[in-house]
Formats: sequence, structure tokens, C-alpha cells
Amino acid sequence: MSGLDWLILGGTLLFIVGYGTWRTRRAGESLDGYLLGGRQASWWAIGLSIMATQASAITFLSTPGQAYDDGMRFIQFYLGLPVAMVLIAIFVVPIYHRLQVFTAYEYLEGRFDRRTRTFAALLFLVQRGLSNGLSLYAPALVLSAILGWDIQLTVWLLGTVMIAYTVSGGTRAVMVTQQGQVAVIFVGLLVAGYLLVHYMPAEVGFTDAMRVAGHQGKLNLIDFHFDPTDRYNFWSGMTGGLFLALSYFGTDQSQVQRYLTGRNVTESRLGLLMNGLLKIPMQFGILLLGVLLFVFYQFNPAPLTFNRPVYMKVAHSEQYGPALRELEREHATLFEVRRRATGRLVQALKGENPAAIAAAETHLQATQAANLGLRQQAQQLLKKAEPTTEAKDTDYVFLTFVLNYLPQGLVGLLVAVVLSAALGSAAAGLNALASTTVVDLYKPRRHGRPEAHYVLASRAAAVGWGVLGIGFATFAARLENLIQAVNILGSLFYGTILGIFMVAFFLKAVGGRAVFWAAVVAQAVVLTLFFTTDIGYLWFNIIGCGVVVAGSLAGKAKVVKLKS
Amino acid sequence: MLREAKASRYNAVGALVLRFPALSFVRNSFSAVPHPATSETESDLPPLLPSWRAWYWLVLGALALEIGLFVYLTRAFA
Repeated sequence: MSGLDWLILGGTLLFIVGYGTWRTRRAGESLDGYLLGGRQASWWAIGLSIMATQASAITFLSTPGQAYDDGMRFIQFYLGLPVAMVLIAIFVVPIYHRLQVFTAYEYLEGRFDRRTRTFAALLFLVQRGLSNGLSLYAPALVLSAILGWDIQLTVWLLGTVMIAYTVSGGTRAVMVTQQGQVAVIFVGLLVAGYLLVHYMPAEVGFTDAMRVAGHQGKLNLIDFHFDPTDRYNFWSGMTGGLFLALSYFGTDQSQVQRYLTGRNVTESRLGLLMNGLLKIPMQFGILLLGVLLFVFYQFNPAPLTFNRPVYMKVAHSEQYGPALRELEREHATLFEVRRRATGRLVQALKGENPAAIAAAETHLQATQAANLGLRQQAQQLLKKAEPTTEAKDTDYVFLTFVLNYLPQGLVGLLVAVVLSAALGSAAAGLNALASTTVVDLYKPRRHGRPEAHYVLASRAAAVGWGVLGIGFATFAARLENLIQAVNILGSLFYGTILGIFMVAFFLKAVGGRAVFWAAVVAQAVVLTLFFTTDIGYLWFNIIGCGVVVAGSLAGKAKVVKLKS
Repeated sequence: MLREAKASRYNAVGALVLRFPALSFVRNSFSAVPHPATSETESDLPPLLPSWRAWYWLVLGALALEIGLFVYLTRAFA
């Protein structure tokens, strides 16, 4: 990075944190002000905050790599989201607003009992506490790749900044900073997309790039084939994705807290619907970046592995260095072959000659297979040399392009966007963890203290969860792909939580005892299935929810039978 | 009665009955939801579009269009 990049990176981060802290300097006077910003937010602020909370640095770094590696089929994961936004706007928002709750779980005590509220809150705390660690790891990945810093030291530095920022400003600080971040993220995406197409060879336009990607199987946006072991298809997205989105936006405090800040039902609903309209186009744009990167690297030399810090370390080792460097030489030779093959495919597609297209496609596929083989060999070698390193390098794909190809100044801005988005998202999670800990666990047991006491407790909880998140982040490097890890983690708990809320909202005859035990059984079933089967993780959302609903009904039926 | 009133206060179906008078045939199943002032009033009407239903159809229509576009892109560039 150049001096200009450092200036822009530092200036942007300082401005965002400074402005957020200054604007919200009086936010901590009451619990309502600290946790919900005084319930004064407008719909666009809520919408932007919802989007920024979900779209962390992981989204920006990991998703293009996912498309680069696996095509655009990941978009199907989001198909259930707009439906979920509509359902939550109709059924959930009015209830939360009417009851004036601080957290989603507070509602469960009034509807069932304290035990069920505590259980749901604990499930959330475990899941979000771990996810927040992953959100911290992603930006640490950026800095360690750029600066060559030790990743654990980077996690601690970033975590400390995040804790200080969240503890001082509360929810309003989180939301104020998120507004600017989302705007800059959209600008960054558009600029990166434009430059990717601009950097293609003169004879390759956007449509040509799309056709090359399509012939390489990267535009696999929709798959109607039903397979429960397949992670991403239309059916898993419309069912599992719907249940996951219902649970995430309807019952996860990190999101519920965003729209509880709305000044009325209208503002909260519109904020959610704005997310329903913009989320899929946004994810489509990010995935398209990954596909364009794939085409870009057909014409420009890609590294053997995008994880350069680990590569450099192993390449200089005596034991594995020679083998890795030999693979690099083969990879460079193969690139020339692949570039020519891609050029021939572009020409054949322009000539619209089916025989020439088929021949060029076959040749290109053979070179792709050879390239994939070399990359896998390199990854195995890296794994052998550095067992704790990340198994896949897809999280580094976009970052490598940004650092190597974007002009001076823009690199600093994009890195600042990634880091500030990461901090904003993690801060929202931390804020929600603190709220749930104090409102659902601490306050019911220490009732009647002054407001200032609970605000102080919230700040202390934020510090505690921040430190725990940092601890978990130090283990994140062993996970396969960041964005998948976050979603898998969510799916293990969200089904059960959603089931509890579904029963609460729609089965008025079911009481606390039945739903509590059904939830305990459901969580045990989901964890057992996760560790013993290879069912696609999105299905756990449906299974968990289904077991809670069925178990609650069965429990209720048993009670009625005993009474009669 | 008390138990039922409590349940309907926390129940989405109870609120739904109040919002849609056509569902009044099930009204007996749910007692009145407390805080009637927070049911849909003038201030709860959405901006830009005439009703919430129009907003919901806008979001779902956009989803249908997106799925159609994705099917087209998948097939056109395969």
C-alpha cells in the first residue's frame, strides 16, 4: 500500500469512529437510550443498519471468493429472505412494538415463562458470541495479509478498538456509523466491478466475460434439482433459507434490536422491506464480482494460492519450498495455455460456430482441470507445512485483486470500507449480546436498580463478550470458509429459536412447559444430526423448528389427555 | 378467560383478526388485543404506496422477477 492508501485508510477509520462517537455522546443516559437509541430511528436508517449488520467484512471478502470457486449458486441461499421480511413485517413487528420490549426474548416470558425466555436467550448468546468471533477474524485476515502481521495480534488489536467503540456509544453509535458504511460499500462494489471489466483484454467486453463464465459453469444461479445433501438449490433456499431468515431477522437480537429502534411500526416495517428489496441485488452484485474475477484471472496470471503470507513462509522452507516452487513454475506455464484457450473460446463464441465452441470449451475445461489439480496439490502442501492454516484460499481472492490491481488511493478506501463494515457489524453483535445478557439474564435477577446501574452492566457485558469473541477468533483460521462457517453456526441454533417463537406467535394453546422441553429435544436432535449425518446445513433450520412445533403440540395433547 | 386474554395479547393471530375484519368469524377464538391505539391507524399507513398489502406485493413481485432473471441467465449462458 502507498502512503496515499495509508492516509485514506487511517483518515476514513478515524472519521467514522470519531463521528459516531461525537454524534452519540449523550446516548448512554438511560437504558432505552443506550440499547435502543431512544426509539427514534427512521425507516431508511433502520434499513441501512439491518443491511450493514448482516453484511460484514466476511460478506465483502468471502462471497466473491465463493463465486470464484463455486459459481453464483450461493445466491439461492437468499431467496427466502424477501418472503421472511414480509412475514416479519406483518406478524412480528406489531407485537414487539406493542409490548415495548428491549429484546426479542423478553416477549417469551410474557407469553410462556422465564425458563423458556432464558433458554432462548442462552441459545442466542452461544451462537452470536461465536459468530462475532468470526466477524473479527475476517478483518484481521485483511490486515495480516497486507502487513504480514501475526493474525492473533491483529485480532486482539481490532477487538480492542471494537470494544471501546461499542461500549462508549451504544446502539446509536453503531447505527450512525453503519449509514456511511453501506453507502461506501455500494460505491466500492460498483468501482471494483467497473475496473474488473475495464482491465479485461480489449476484445473482451462484459457480455463476452459473462459467456466465458457461463461456459465454465460459473453462472449456475438457479438449480431446481432437489437434493437434501446439496447446500444450495432453489428448494433449500426457499425453505431452509426462508426459515433461517425468519429466525435471523425475527428472533436474533442483533437484528431485532435494529428495528426496535424505529419510532413506530411504519418505520420498522419499511426498514425491513427495504432490506427485502435490496438484499438479493446486493448479493448478486458481490457474487458477480467473484465471477468477473474468475474471468479476469483467465487473462491475467493468478497466484498458485491466494493466501500469499502462508505461501511465502512455506516457499522459503527447506523441506517444502522446492516442491512448492516447482508447482508454481508448472502453474505459470499452464496459465499461458489457459489464456490462449480462453481467447479461442471468446473468438468461437463471437463466431457462433457450435463445433468451434465445443472444441474450445473442451480444451479450456482440460486446462481448468489441470489448474485445479495444481492448486489442490499446493493447498495440500501448505496444509502439511502449516497445519493450522486455512484449508481454502477463496477468502483471499478479492483482497489479492484489490491490492495488486486497484489504483493508489482506491486500495486504501476499499480496505477502510472492509474494516469499518466489519467493525460496525461486530459492534452490532456485541451490542445485542450485551442487551440480552443484561435485559434477559441480569435484570430479572437484580430488579429495581437505577437505570445507570443497568447501563453500566451493559457496558461491562459488552467488554466481557468482546474479549470472548477475540478468544474464539483466534481459532477461526482453522475453518474452511468464513461465510459458510457463520451460516452453519447460525443454522445449528436458529431452527430451535424460531420454533419457540412460531409456537409463541401461532399456537396460543401451548404453554411454557411443553415448548421448553420440545426446544431442548429439538436442539439435541439438530446437534446429533450435524455430527452424525451429511445433511445440508440449511435443512437444520426446518428440522429444529419442526421438532419444536411438533413436540409442543404433542406435549400439549398429552396434558389435555391427562386432564380429561 | 384471563389466560386467554393474555395469550391473545401475545398472539399474532389475535392481532390479525383486528386488522382484517373479514376474519371476524374467528373473533370468538381471541379476546380483544390490548392497546388498540397501536393497531393500524392513519399514522401506520405506509408512504408512497396506498397500503401495506401493496408494499408486500412489491417485495414479492421483485423476488419473482429476480428468480426469472436468474433462470434466464443460467440457461442463456450455460
